Amino acid sequence: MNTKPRSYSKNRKKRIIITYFYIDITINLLNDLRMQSYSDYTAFCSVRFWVCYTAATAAMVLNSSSRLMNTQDSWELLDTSNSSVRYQIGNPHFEGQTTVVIQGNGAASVEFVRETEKRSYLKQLAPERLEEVRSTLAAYDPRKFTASQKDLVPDEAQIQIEIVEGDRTWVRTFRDQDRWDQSNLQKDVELFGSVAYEVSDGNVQF
Amino acid sequence: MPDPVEINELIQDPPFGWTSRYHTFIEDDRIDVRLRINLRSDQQISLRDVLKVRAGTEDSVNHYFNQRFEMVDSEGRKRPLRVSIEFISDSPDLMVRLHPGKGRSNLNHWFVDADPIIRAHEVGHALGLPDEYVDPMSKNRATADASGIYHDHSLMGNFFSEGVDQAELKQRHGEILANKISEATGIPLKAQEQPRITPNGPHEVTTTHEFLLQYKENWAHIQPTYSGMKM
Repeated sequence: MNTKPRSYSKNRKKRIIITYFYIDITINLLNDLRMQSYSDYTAFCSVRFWVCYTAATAAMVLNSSSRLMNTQDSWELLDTSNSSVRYQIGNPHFEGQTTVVIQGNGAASVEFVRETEKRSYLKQLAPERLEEVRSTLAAYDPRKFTASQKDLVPDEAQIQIEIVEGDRTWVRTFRDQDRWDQSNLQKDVELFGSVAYEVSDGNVQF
Repeated sequence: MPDPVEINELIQDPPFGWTSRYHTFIEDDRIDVRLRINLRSDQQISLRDVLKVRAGTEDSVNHYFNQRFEMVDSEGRKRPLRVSIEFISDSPDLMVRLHPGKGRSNLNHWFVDADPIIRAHEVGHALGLPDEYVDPMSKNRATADASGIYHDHSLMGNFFSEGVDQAELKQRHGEILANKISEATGIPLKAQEQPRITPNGPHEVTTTHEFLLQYKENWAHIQPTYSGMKM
Protein backbone atom coordinates (compact mmCIF):
# COMPACT_ATOMS: atom_id res chain seq x y z
CA MET A 1 0.00 0.00 0.00
CA ASN A 2 1.42 3.34 -0.96
CA THR A 3 0.24 6.33 0.98
CA LYS A 4 1.17 9.88 0.12
CA PRO A 5 3.63 11.51 2.48
CA ARG A 6 2.10 14.30 4.54
CA SER A 7 4.43 16.99 3.40
CA TYR A 8 3.39 20.54 4.05
CA SER A 9 5.34 21.86 1.12
CA LYS A 10 5.32 25.45 -0.09
CA ASN A 11 2.98 24.43 -2.97
CA ARG A 12 0.39 23.07 -0.59
CA LYS A 13 0.53 26.23 1.51
CA LYS A 14 0.12 28.29 -1.66
CA ARG A 15 -3.00 26.34 -2.65
CA ILE A 16 -4.52 26.87 0.81
CA ILE A 17 -3.85 30.62 0.62
CA ILE A 18 -5.47 30.80 -2.84
CA THR A 19 -8.58 28.96 -1.62
CA TYR A 20 -8.94 31.39 1.29
CA PHE A 21 -8.46 34.26 -1.14
CA TYR A 22 -11.40 33.05 -3.32
CA ILE A 23 -13.63 32.71 -0.25
CA ASP A 24 -12.62 36.18 0.95
CA ILE A 25 -13.52 37.75 -2.44
CA THR A 26 -16.96 36.08 -2.42
CA ILE A 27 -17.75 37.19 1.15
CA ASN A 28 -16.64 40.77 0.44
CA LEU A 29 -18.80 40.97 -2.70
CA LEU A 30 -21.86 39.74 -0.77
CA ASN A 31 -21.16 42.31 1.99
CA ASP A 32 -20.85 45.06 -0.64
CA LEU A 33 -24.18 44.12 -2.20
CA ARG A 34 -25.86 44.18 1.20
CA MET A 35 -24.34 47.39 2.65
CA GLN A 36 -23.80 49.84 -0.19
CA SER A 37 -26.57 52.27 -1.16
CA TYR A 38 -28.17 51.83 -4.59
CA SER A 39 -26.80 55.16 -5.93
CA ASP A 40 -23.21 54.19 -5.23
CA TYR A 41 -23.63 50.59 -6.14
CA THR A 42 -23.09 50.67 -9.91
CA ALA A 43 -19.79 52.60 -9.82
CA PHE A 44 -18.46 50.79 -6.78
CA CYS A 45 -19.35 47.36 -8.10
CA SER A 46 -17.65 48.11 -11.38
CA VAL A 47 -14.35 48.99 -9.66
CA ARG A 48 -14.70 46.06 -7.30
CA PHE A 49 -15.43 43.73 -10.21
CA TRP A 50 -12.14 44.66 -11.94
CA VAL A 51 -10.17 44.38 -8.71
CA CYS A 52 -11.64 40.94 -8.08
CA TYR A 53 -11.22 39.88 -11.70
CA THR A 54 -7.52 40.85 -11.66
CA ALA A 55 -6.97 39.16 -8.31
CA ALA A 56 -8.75 36.00 -9.43
CA THR A 57 -6.74 35.88 -12.66
CA ALA A 58 -3.49 36.30 -10.73
CA ALA A 59 -4.60 33.58 -8.32
CA MET A 60 -5.36 31.23 -11.21
CA VAL A 61 -1.96 31.89 -12.78
CA LEU A 62 -0.26 31.27 -9.43
CA ASN A 63 -2.30 28.12 -8.93
CA SER A 64 -1.47 26.72 -12.37
CA SER A 65 2.24 27.52 -11.99
CA SER A 66 2.13 25.81 -8.63
CA ARG A 67 0.69 22.68 -10.28
CA LEU A 68 3.34 22.90 -13.00
CA MET A 69 6.06 22.99 -10.33
CA ASN A 70 4.46 20.04 -8.64
CA THR A 71 4.60 17.90 -11.75
CA GLN A 72 8.01 18.97 -12.99
CA ASP A 73 10.25 19.81 -10.05
CA SER A 74 8.95 18.28 -6.90
CA TRP A 75 7.10 15.13 -7.72
CA GLU A 76 6.58 13.05 -4.61
CA LEU A 77 9.37 10.72 -3.45
CA LEU A 78 8.92 6.93 -3.20
CA ASP A 79 5.28 7.40 -4.16
CA THR A 80 4.80 4.36 -6.38
CA SER A 81 6.27 0.90 -6.69
CA ASN A 82 8.35 1.95 -9.72
CA SER A 83 9.99 4.79 -7.84
CA SER A 84 13.26 4.63 -5.93
CA VAL A 85 15.89 6.68 -4.16
CA ARG A 86 19.56 5.76 -4.41
CA TYR A 87 22.28 7.14 -2.11
CA GLN A 88 25.98 6.53 -2.63
CA ILE A 89 28.95 7.79 -0.63
CA GLY A 90 32.68 7.21 -0.56
CA ASN A 91 35.51 5.67 -2.54
CA PRO A 92 35.81 1.86 -2.93
CA HIS A 93 39.60 2.24 -3.07
CA PHE A 94 40.00 3.78 0.39
CA GLU A 95 37.47 3.87 3.24
CA GLY A 96 34.92 2.03 1.08
CA GLN A 97 31.80 2.91 -0.84
CA THR A 98 28.29 2.50 0.60
CA THR A 99 25.23 2.37 -1.64
CA VAL A 100 21.67 2.40 -0.30
CA VAL A 101 18.68 1.89 -2.61
CA ILE A 102 15.12 2.23 -1.29
CA GLN A 103 12.25 1.23 -3.58
CA GLY A 104 8.75 2.69 -3.43
CA ASN A 105 7.43 -0.71 -2.31
CA GLY A 106 9.73 -0.68 0.74
CA ALA A 107 12.47 -2.99 -0.56
CA ALA A 108 15.85 -1.67 0.64
CA SER A 109 19.29 -2.83 -0.41
CA VAL A 110 22.70 -1.89 1.01
CA GLU A 111 26.04 -2.61 -0.60
CA PHE A 112 29.50 -1.93 0.81
CA VAL A 113 32.51 -2.23 -1.51
CA ARG A 114 36.18 -1.87 -0.54
CA GLU A 115 38.64 -3.13 -3.16
CA THR A 116 37.88 -6.87 -3.54
CA GLU A 117 35.63 -6.93 -0.46
CA LYS A 118 31.94 -6.69 -1.29
CA ARG A 119 29.03 -7.07 1.11
CA SER A 120 25.36 -6.89 0.12
CA TYR A 121 22.22 -6.83 2.23
CA LEU A 122 18.53 -6.77 1.37
CA LYS A 123 15.49 -6.19 3.58
CA GLN A 124 11.87 -5.14 3.35
CA LEU A 125 11.24 -1.99 5.35
CA ALA A 126 8.21 -2.09 7.66
CA PRO A 127 5.34 0.13 6.41
CA GLU A 128 5.77 2.60 9.26
CA ARG A 129 9.54 2.82 8.62
CA LEU A 130 8.92 3.38 4.90
CA GLU A 131 6.46 6.13 5.82
CA GLU A 132 9.12 7.66 8.07
CA VAL A 133 11.63 7.56 5.20
CA ARG A 134 9.10 9.21 2.87
CA SER A 135 8.18 11.95 5.28
CA THR A 136 11.86 12.69 6.06
CA LEU A 137 12.69 12.90 2.35
CA ALA A 138 9.62 15.10 1.80
CA ALA A 139 10.60 17.40 4.66
CA TYR A 140 14.27 17.50 3.60
CA ASP A 141 13.87 17.12 -0.14
CA PRO A 142 17.37 16.51 -1.63
CA ARG A 143 16.34 18.39 -4.78
CA LYS A 144 16.25 21.63 -2.81
CA PHE A 145 19.88 21.45 -1.72
CA THR A 146 22.79 23.13 -3.44
CA ALA A 147 25.94 21.35 -4.47
CA SER A 148 29.09 23.35 -3.81
CA GLN A 149 31.55 23.82 -6.66
CA LYS A 150 34.63 24.34 -4.47
CA ASP A 151 37.73 22.14 -4.52
CA LEU A 152 37.48 18.98 -2.48
CA VAL A 153 39.85 18.59 0.47
CA PRO A 154 41.93 15.40 0.72
CA ASP A 155 39.90 12.28 1.53
CA GLU A 156 36.64 14.21 1.16
CA ALA A 157 33.90 11.85 0.03
CA GLN A 158 31.31 12.63 -2.59
CA ILE A 159 27.63 11.99 -1.94
CA GLN A 160 25.40 11.10 -4.88
CA ILE A 161 21.62 11.04 -4.56
CA GLU A 162 19.46 9.74 -7.41
CA ILE A 163 15.66 9.87 -7.44
CA VAL A 164 13.69 7.80 -9.96
CA GLU A 165 9.96 8.13 -10.53
CA GLY A 166 8.82 6.06 -13.49
CA ASP A 167 10.74 7.37 -16.48
CA ARG A 168 11.92 10.53 -14.70
CA THR A 169 15.33 10.64 -13.04
CA TRP A 170 16.94 13.34 -10.92
CA VAL A 171 20.55 13.01 -9.80
CA ARG A 172 22.93 15.33 -7.99
CA THR A 173 26.43 14.93 -6.54
CA PHE A 174 27.34 16.77 -3.37
CA ARG A 175 30.69 17.08 -1.64
CA ASP A 176 30.89 15.89 1.95
CA GLN A 177 31.32 19.48 3.17
CA ASP A 178 27.83 20.29 1.80
CA ARG A 179 26.22 18.21 4.52
CA TRP A 180 28.09 20.10 7.23
CA ASP A 181 27.11 23.43 5.63
CA GLN A 182 23.45 22.45 5.04
CA SER A 183 21.96 20.81 8.11
CA ASN A 184 18.93 19.62 6.13
CA LEU A 185 21.16 17.61 3.78
CA GLN A 186 22.79 16.13 6.88
CA LYS A 187 19.30 14.90 7.91
CA ASP A 188 19.12 12.91 4.66
CA VAL A 189 22.65 11.57 5.14
CA GLU A 190 21.73 10.47 8.67
CA LEU A 191 18.55 8.86 7.31
CA PHE A 192 20.41 6.81 4.70
CA GLY A 193 23.10 5.95 7.26
CA SER A 194 20.45 4.63 9.62
CA VAL A 195 18.83 2.57 6.83
CA ALA A 196 22.28 1.15 5.94
CA TYR A 197 22.83 0.23 9.59
CA GLU A 198 19.41 -1.41 9.93
CA VAL A 199 19.44 -3.33 6.67
CA SER A 200 23.00 -4.61 7.23
CA ASP A 201 22.32 -5.45 10.89
CA GLY A 202 25.00 -3.00 11.96
CA ASN A 203 27.67 -4.23 9.54
CA VAL A 204 27.63 -1.03 7.47
CA GLN A 205 27.92 1.98 9.75
CA PHE A 206 28.49 4.90 7.38
CA MET B 1 65.44 28.88 20.46
CA PRO B 2 65.60 29.78 16.75
CA ASP B 3 62.82 31.73 15.07
CA PRO B 4 60.19 29.61 13.39
CA VAL B 5 59.97 29.64 9.61
CA GLU B 6 56.48 29.39 8.14
CA ILE B 7 55.81 27.02 5.28
CA ASN B 8 52.63 27.92 3.44
CA GLU B 9 51.81 26.28 0.14
CA LEU B 10 48.74 25.61 -1.98
CA ILE B 11 48.66 21.93 -2.94
CA GLN B 12 46.76 20.85 -6.05
CA ASP B 13 45.62 17.32 -6.85
CA PRO B 14 42.58 18.17 -9.00
CA PRO B 15 39.75 18.14 -8.07
CA PHE B 16 41.37 18.24 -4.63
CA GLY B 17 43.08 21.36 -3.38
CA TRP B 18 44.23 22.54 0.03
CA THR B 19 46.65 24.79 1.87
CA SER B 20 49.54 23.14 3.65
CA ARG B 21 50.74 25.39 6.46
CA TYR B 22 53.12 24.65 9.32
CA HIS B 23 56.29 25.94 10.99
CA THR B 24 59.81 24.62 11.11
CA PHE B 25 62.65 25.32 13.54
CA ILE B 26 66.23 24.52 12.64
CA GLU B 27 67.94 23.45 15.84
CA ASP B 28 71.58 22.44 16.25
CA ASP B 29 70.71 18.84 16.94
CA ARG B 30 67.40 18.38 15.09
CA ILE B 31 64.83 19.93 12.76
CA ASP B 32 61.44 20.51 14.34
CA VAL B 33 58.22 20.68 12.38
CA ARG B 34 55.25 22.00 14.30
CA LEU B 35 51.61 21.83 13.20
CA ARG B 36 49.11 23.88 15.19
CA ILE B 37 45.58 22.47 15.07
CA ASN B 38 42.35 24.07 16.16
CA LEU B 39 40.08 21.19 17.14
CA ARG B 40 36.51 22.40 17.55
CA SER B 41 33.04 20.92 17.52
CA ASP B 42 29.44 22.04 17.14
CA GLN B 43 28.22 18.85 18.74
CA GLN B 44 28.30 17.63 22.30
CA ILE B 45 31.57 15.81 22.78
CA SER B 46 32.88 15.02 26.24
CA LEU B 47 36.18 16.45 27.42
CA ARG B 48 37.38 12.89 27.85
CA ASP B 49 36.80 12.18 24.15
CA VAL B 50 38.49 15.41 23.11
CA LEU B 51 41.52 14.56 25.22
CA LYS B 52 41.49 11.03 23.80
CA VAL B 53 41.58 12.40 20.25
CA ARG B 54 44.39 14.84 21.12
CA ALA B 55 46.51 12.17 22.79
CA GLY B 56 45.76 9.64 20.05
CA THR B 57 46.78 12.12 17.36
CA GLU B 58 50.03 13.00 19.12
CA ASP B 59 50.88 9.32 19.62
CA SER B 60 50.01 8.46 16.04
CA VAL B 61 52.08 11.32 14.62
CA ASN B 62 54.97 10.38 16.86
CA HIS B 63 54.72 6.77 15.70
CA TYR B 64 54.63 7.47 11.96
CA PHE B 65 56.66 10.66 11.58
CA ASN B 66 59.36 10.63 14.24
CA GLN B 67 62.55 8.55 14.26
CA ARG B 68 61.86 8.17 10.56
CA PHE B 69 64.01 10.67 8.66
CA GLU B 70 67.27 12.53 9.05
CA MET B 71 67.82 15.75 7.18
CA VAL B 72 71.30 15.97 5.73
CA ASP B 73 72.69 19.40 4.81
CA SER B 74 75.32 20.23 2.17
CA GLU B 75 78.13 19.71 4.70
CA GLY B 76 76.90 16.22 5.49
CA ARG B 77 75.54 17.21 8.89
CA LYS B 78 72.60 15.04 9.92
CA ARG B 79 69.67 16.23 11.97
CA PRO B 80 66.70 14.04 12.86
CA LEU B 81 63.29 15.37 11.79
CA ARG B 82 60.82 15.69 14.62
CA VAL B 83 57.15 16.43 13.97
CA SER B 84 54.95 17.66 16.81
CA ILE B 85 51.32 18.69 17.12
CA GLU B 86 50.03 21.57 19.15
CA PHE B 87 46.32 22.04 19.84
CA ILE B 88 45.54 25.73 20.06
CA SER B 89 42.61 28.11 19.56
CA ASP B 90 44.26 31.18 17.98
CA SER B 91 45.95 31.36 14.56
CA PRO B 92 45.98 27.65 13.80
CA ASP B 93 47.62 26.08 10.76
CA LEU B 94 44.72 23.64 10.40
CA MET B 95 41.06 23.90 11.38
CA VAL B 96 39.41 20.60 12.26
CA ARG B 97 35.82 19.94 13.23
CA LEU B 98 35.44 16.97 15.53
CA HIS B 99 32.36 14.73 15.31
CA PRO B 100 31.23 11.99 17.68
CA GLY B 101 31.31 8.30 16.80
CA LYS B 102 32.56 6.86 13.53
CA GLY B 103 32.44 8.40 10.08
CA ARG B 104 34.35 9.32 6.96
CA SER B 105 37.23 11.53 8.00
CA ASN B 106 38.94 14.08 5.81
CA LEU B 107 41.50 16.84 6.33
CA ASN B 108 38.97 19.12 8.08
CA HIS B 109 36.55 16.66 9.69
CA TRP B 110 37.65 14.05 12.21
CA PHE B 111 35.65 11.49 14.17
CA VAL B 112 36.21 10.55 17.80
CA ASP B 113 36.18 6.80 17.17
CA ALA B 114 38.20 6.81 13.95
CA ASP B 115 41.35 4.72 13.77
CA PRO B 116 44.34 6.85 14.92
CA ILE B 117 46.20 6.06 11.68
CA ILE B 118 43.63 8.20 9.84
CA ARG B 119 44.62 11.26 11.87
CA ALA B 120 48.30 10.66 11.10
CA HIS B 121 47.28 10.39 7.43
CA GLU B 122 45.45 13.74 7.65
CA VAL B 123 48.45 15.35 9.36
CA GLY B 124 50.45 14.08 6.38
CA HIS B 125 48.16 16.15 4.12
CA ALA B 126 48.57 19.16 6.38
CA LEU B 127 52.33 18.81 5.87
CA GLY B 128 51.83 18.73 2.09
CA LEU B 129 51.80 15.00 1.33
CA PRO B 130 49.29 13.94 -1.33
CA ASP B 131 47.05 10.87 -1.33
CA GLU B 132 48.42 7.76 -3.03
CA TYR B 133 45.32 5.56 -3.35
CA VAL B 134 43.09 5.15 -6.39
CA ASP B 135 40.43 7.80 -6.79
CA PRO B 136 38.52 7.90 -10.09
CA MET B 137 37.96 11.65 -9.57
CA SER B 138 41.66 12.48 -9.48
CA LYS B 139 43.60 12.97 -12.71
CA ASN B 140 46.83 11.53 -11.25
CA ARG B 141 45.16 8.69 -9.39
CA ALA B 142 42.28 7.58 -11.57
CA THR B 143 43.46 3.97 -12.04
CA ALA B 144 45.65 1.47 -10.21
CA ASP B 145 48.57 2.04 -12.61
CA ALA B 146 48.36 5.87 -12.61
CA SER B 147 51.48 7.88 -11.79
CA GLY B 148 50.27 9.01 -8.36
CA ILE B 149 49.45 5.50 -7.09
CA TYR B 150 51.67 3.44 -4.77
CA HIS B 151 50.98 -0.03 -3.40
CA ASP B 152 53.92 -0.19 -1.00
CA HIS B 153 52.21 0.09 2.42
CA SER B 154 52.34 3.85 2.39
CA LEU B 155 50.73 5.92 5.15
CA MET B 156 49.23 8.01 2.35
CA GLY B 157 48.00 4.97 0.39
CA ASN B 158 45.20 2.46 0.86
CA PHE B 159 46.30 1.08 4.22
CA PHE B 160 42.79 -0.22 4.86
CA SER B 161 43.37 -2.94 2.26
CA GLU B 162 47.17 -3.19 2.41
CA GLY B 163 47.30 -3.45 6.20
CA VAL B 164 47.22 -0.76 8.87
CA ASP B 165 50.09 -2.38 10.82
CA GLN B 166 52.43 -2.23 7.83
CA ALA B 167 51.74 1.38 6.88
CA GLU B 168 54.67 3.79 7.09
CA LEU B 169 56.13 6.91 5.56
CA LYS B 170 58.40 6.32 2.59
CA GLN B 171 61.61 7.95 1.39
CA ARG B 172 59.61 10.03 -1.13
CA HIS B 173 57.67 11.59 1.76
CA GLY B 174 60.88 12.54 3.51
CA GLU B 175 62.08 14.14 0.26
CA ILE B 176 58.90 16.20 -0.04
CA LEU B 177 59.36 17.48 3.52
CA ALA B 178 63.08 18.13 2.94
CA ASN B 179 62.33 20.12 -0.24
CA LYS B 180 59.70 22.27 1.48
CA ILE B 181 61.93 22.98 4.48
CA SER B 182 64.85 23.75 2.13
CA GLU B 183 62.79 26.21 0.10
CA ALA B 184 61.48 27.97 3.20
CA THR B 185 64.78 28.18 5.15
CA GLY B 186 67.25 28.47 2.27
CA ILE B 187 69.26 25.57 3.69
CA PRO B 188 69.67 22.74 1.14
CA LEU B 189 68.54 19.50 2.79
CA LYS B 190 68.16 15.92 1.71
CA ALA B 191 66.12 13.30 3.49
CA GLN B 192 67.60 10.05 4.62
CA GLU B 193 65.67 7.21 6.22
CA GLN B 194 66.43 6.44 9.83
CA PRO B 195 66.24 2.86 11.10
CA ARG B 196 62.69 2.43 12.30
CA ILE B 197 62.34 1.83 16.02
CA THR B 198 58.90 1.10 17.38
CA PRO B 199 58.23 0.75 21.11
CA ASN B 200 56.51 -2.62 20.87
CA GLY B 201 57.45 -3.73 17.39
CA PRO B 202 59.88 -6.44 16.43
CA HIS B 203 62.49 -3.97 15.08
CA GLU B 204 63.76 -2.85 18.46
CA VAL B 205 64.26 -6.39 19.68
CA THR B 206 65.86 -7.53 16.43
CA THR B 207 68.16 -4.52 16.20
CA THR B 208 69.34 -4.89 19.80
CA HIS B 209 69.69 -8.62 19.42
CA GLU B 210 71.68 -8.32 16.18
CA PHE B 211 73.85 -5.62 17.69
CA LEU B 212 74.67 -7.75 20.70
CA LEU B 213 75.43 -10.76 18.52
CA GLN B 214 77.76 -8.65 16.38
CA TYR B 215 79.36 -7.25 19.49
CA LYS B 216 79.89 -10.72 20.85
CA GLU B 217 81.45 -11.98 17.60
CA ASN B 218 83.64 -8.94 16.87
CA TRP B 219 84.65 -7.37 20.15
CA ALA B 220 84.15 -9.74 23.01
CA HIS B 221 87.58 -11.30 22.54
CA ILE B 222 89.26 -7.87 22.63
CA GLN B 223 87.50 -6.66 25.73
CA PRO B 224 87.28 -9.74 27.95
CA THR B 225 85.81 -7.66 30.75
CA TYR B 226 82.44 -7.86 29.03
CA SER B 227 82.73 -11.44 27.80
CA GLY B 228 80.93 -12.68 30.82
CA MET B 229 77.72 -10.83 29.87
CA LYS B 230 74.71 -13.05 29.35
CA MET B 231 73.55 -12.65 25.80
